[in-house]
Amino acid sequence: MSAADSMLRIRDLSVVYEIDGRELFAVKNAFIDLKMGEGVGIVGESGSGKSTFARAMMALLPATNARVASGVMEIDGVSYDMVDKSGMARLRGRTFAMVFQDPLSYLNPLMTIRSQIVEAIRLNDPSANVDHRVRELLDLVRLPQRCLTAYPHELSGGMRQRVLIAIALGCRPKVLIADEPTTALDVTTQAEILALIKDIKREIGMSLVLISHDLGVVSSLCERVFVMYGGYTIETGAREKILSTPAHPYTQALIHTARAVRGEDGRFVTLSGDVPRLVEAGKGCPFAPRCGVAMPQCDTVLPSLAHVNDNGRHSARCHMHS
Amino acid sequence: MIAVDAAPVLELDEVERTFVGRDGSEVKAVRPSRLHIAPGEIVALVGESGSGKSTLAKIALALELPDKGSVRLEGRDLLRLSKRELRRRRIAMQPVFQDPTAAFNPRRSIRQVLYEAIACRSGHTADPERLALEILHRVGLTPAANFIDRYPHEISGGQRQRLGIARALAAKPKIIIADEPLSGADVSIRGQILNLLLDLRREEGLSILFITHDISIAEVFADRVVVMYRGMIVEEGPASEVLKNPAHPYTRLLWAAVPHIDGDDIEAVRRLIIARPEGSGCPFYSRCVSAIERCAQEMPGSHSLGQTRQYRCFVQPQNQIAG
Amino acid sequence: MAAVARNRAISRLAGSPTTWFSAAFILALILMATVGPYLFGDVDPNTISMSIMAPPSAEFPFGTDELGRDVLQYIVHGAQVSLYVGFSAAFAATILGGLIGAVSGYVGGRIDTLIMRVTEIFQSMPTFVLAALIVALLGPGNNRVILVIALLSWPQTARLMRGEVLRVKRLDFVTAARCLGQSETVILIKEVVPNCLAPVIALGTLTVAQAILLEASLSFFGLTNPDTISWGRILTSGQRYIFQAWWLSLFPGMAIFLTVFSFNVLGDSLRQALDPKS
Repeated sequence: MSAADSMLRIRDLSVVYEIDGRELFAVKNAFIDLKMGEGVGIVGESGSGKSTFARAMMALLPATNARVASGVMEIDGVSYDMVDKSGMARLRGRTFAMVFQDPLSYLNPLMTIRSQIVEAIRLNDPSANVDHRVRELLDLVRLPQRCLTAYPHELSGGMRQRVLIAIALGCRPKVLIADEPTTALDVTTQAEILALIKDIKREIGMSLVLISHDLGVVSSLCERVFVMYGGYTIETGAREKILSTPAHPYTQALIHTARAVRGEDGRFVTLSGDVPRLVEAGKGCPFAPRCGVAMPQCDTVLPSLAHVNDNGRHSARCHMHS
Repeated sequence: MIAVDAAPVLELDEVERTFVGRDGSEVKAVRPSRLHIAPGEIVALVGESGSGKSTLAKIALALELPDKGSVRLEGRDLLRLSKRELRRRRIAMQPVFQDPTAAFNPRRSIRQVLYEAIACRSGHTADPERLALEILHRVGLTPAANFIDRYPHEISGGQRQRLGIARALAAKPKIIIADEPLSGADVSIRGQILNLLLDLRREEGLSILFITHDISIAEVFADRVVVMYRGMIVEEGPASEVLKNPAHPYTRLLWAAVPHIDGDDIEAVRRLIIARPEGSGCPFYSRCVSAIERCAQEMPGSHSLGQTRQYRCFVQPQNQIAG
Repeated sequence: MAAVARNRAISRLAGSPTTWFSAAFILALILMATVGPYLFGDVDPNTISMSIMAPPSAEFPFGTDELGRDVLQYIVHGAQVSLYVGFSAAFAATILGGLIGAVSGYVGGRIDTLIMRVTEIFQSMPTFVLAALIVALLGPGNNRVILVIALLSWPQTARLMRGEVLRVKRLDFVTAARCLGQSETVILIKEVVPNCLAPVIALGTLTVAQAILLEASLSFFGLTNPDTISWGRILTSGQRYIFQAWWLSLFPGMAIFLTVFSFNVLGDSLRQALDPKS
């Protein structure tokens, strides 16, 4: 993809956690790009670095022991150094807004829904016609007027998530970052929220970065997918390509799991071993210990990102393709 | 594999439970329900939060007493046993928990956890160490000798869930009652746990009551599926048949709502989502696209569909709105 | 591995210099109270010298009182009383409160409600006035003081224990034990209580401080046995001469302050160190 048609590019993002005096990478050389109005998904399990990635975009890393070690972000052709935390923090709101897994803990329990939405609107545009804008946002997230006077605890989980989305949209962001927005919800409520995000995306032409462990959720909203494992972006491509011809053994295993494929013996096709936690820098492919087709070099040499096919739009970080 | 004609291991008949709030409001957590589980059978109990599935599981384990009805384990009515006898009998049912972290006393080593469970089975065990190692090996915590003297919080979440199954096994149960055992596990670990449960069923003839919110797992994993909505069993039957061709509008909704990786299901599920005021009849009335007038006032009875299936709905399956 | 966990707790404890100071101070105090008199020669603290109300000097580092008695000796011997009363009262209160709280929380229902009302009644009474009243009625004596302090301190331990039991008894491992056929008594003793002890022990340390303070206050108002030497009693005599002999008030006051402070710091650190979640 050329730089020209993406509104957002992040390159070489690395995030370091300092634990007991050691520097451990939560995210390493990860990247993303995003077109106007497009939805991309970052897929990974716990410890893959997907949430840290999102938090680095929002400059919301836990301040004490985490820092961005490197990373460049380009928005509409303007470059930002992601190491510069305060510079990144200025992009919050207008450029990026975020919704989280657990809306209740991000809503102020002592403020009505209306005042929390108003706060978001004023933050971005102090002279806005607040009443008009609130009504607009409420319609956008399909919430009835009576919710405005309610407090967060009086709403259901699905309604709270709608409120959180309304607050995020109150700043008119270019990109909505959604970190596991439906994981805490019941499956029917999840379907409602996914349908809602899809509508909003279409109605206001908003771009979406969706972070999830669930390939099903990602594929229902996103045109392109970035798969993360052990802090690295290990595969990226169009949703259809990733699902039909996954190139990385990990992606293949994830898809088998999501389809609940059973072998001839009736057992589920599965991955052995455990998800890696924070990785130490260097050495081989993070997936090598669990990989069924690992070669000797996988343990020692980190594979580089290589084009698989699809005119260079589908790439994977695996020695089988380099 | 499933001895259909054999006497059920666990029989819940006409059990019901109503919780009364401080303000006197009543919540029907479980409406009169029947649940039988045959030896070696895997039954998935599916429902969303508030469906009463966890309460029903607690009633099955005799941890929660039903207001009415009976709970029989291997033919014995647990509710009529003395406390002492109940303690002895219930060992044949073992729970596996959702959160494997809270499932273990943080002060016990894996050895102590297993010894305690081994000591509970009837009969004296001469060599608990050999047995404990064997069980660890059985659930795939190998080499077992490396695990036995560690503490549950020192192993990974996936391994802890295996340990939870190991503890259940150590008591030599007839049935395992697992409440959302996959919720805490990473996607790539889930298959491992399901495979382990499948192996245990095959090799030890264990019955499994698998409580889950995820109907897609029920489809691939269970022999029989039981769907609950607000305390009512709305549909039950062989998993493959029920999910290929649901007979209750709620089952249809649940099934359509699962985001499948192949295909854009959102449009299909949109047609099934509505909201209307509550009625006094069927609890699903307020969300049901197929509802007729009668549903608002009357509670539907149970209808049979073939030999093995049952559903509670006034609207015949062929007249229900599909997604 | 338990040893590892314990070491981690100890190393966390050792982290802060304030904790170090407090632990060292309490240790020194205990040594002083137990082997101190033998180390410095077993001098009768009531020995009268010719130096009356002498300011601190090489011979009398903390000065002397109006009868020429050595204030340092007084404080060393007073430590025995303070620590004895403090530890005994805290121990009794912790055991009593722990037991009552554990049963209250585990059994629940009416018993729980009743016990909680009783603790509320106890907690709403002015502790010192009540202690003073009881001691005045029963007559002085260390053991009576201990009893009074313990009776007034158990409710807060009971409430803490109850809260912990309520939290722990809901955890899945308790259900697991029940499903293994354990009896409720065994579950309470083996599964629940051990996981509730950390904050209770920490509170016990704070109770020592409160008990020492209460004993000193009772002595200050002359409500304890006039024959026993205690820090509070030195303060009483000191207040009459506060403008002539500041050392009579300062040193015993400092002893009380530092001891109570140290026990408080230690209790707080213990609570943090024993918390497996931190």
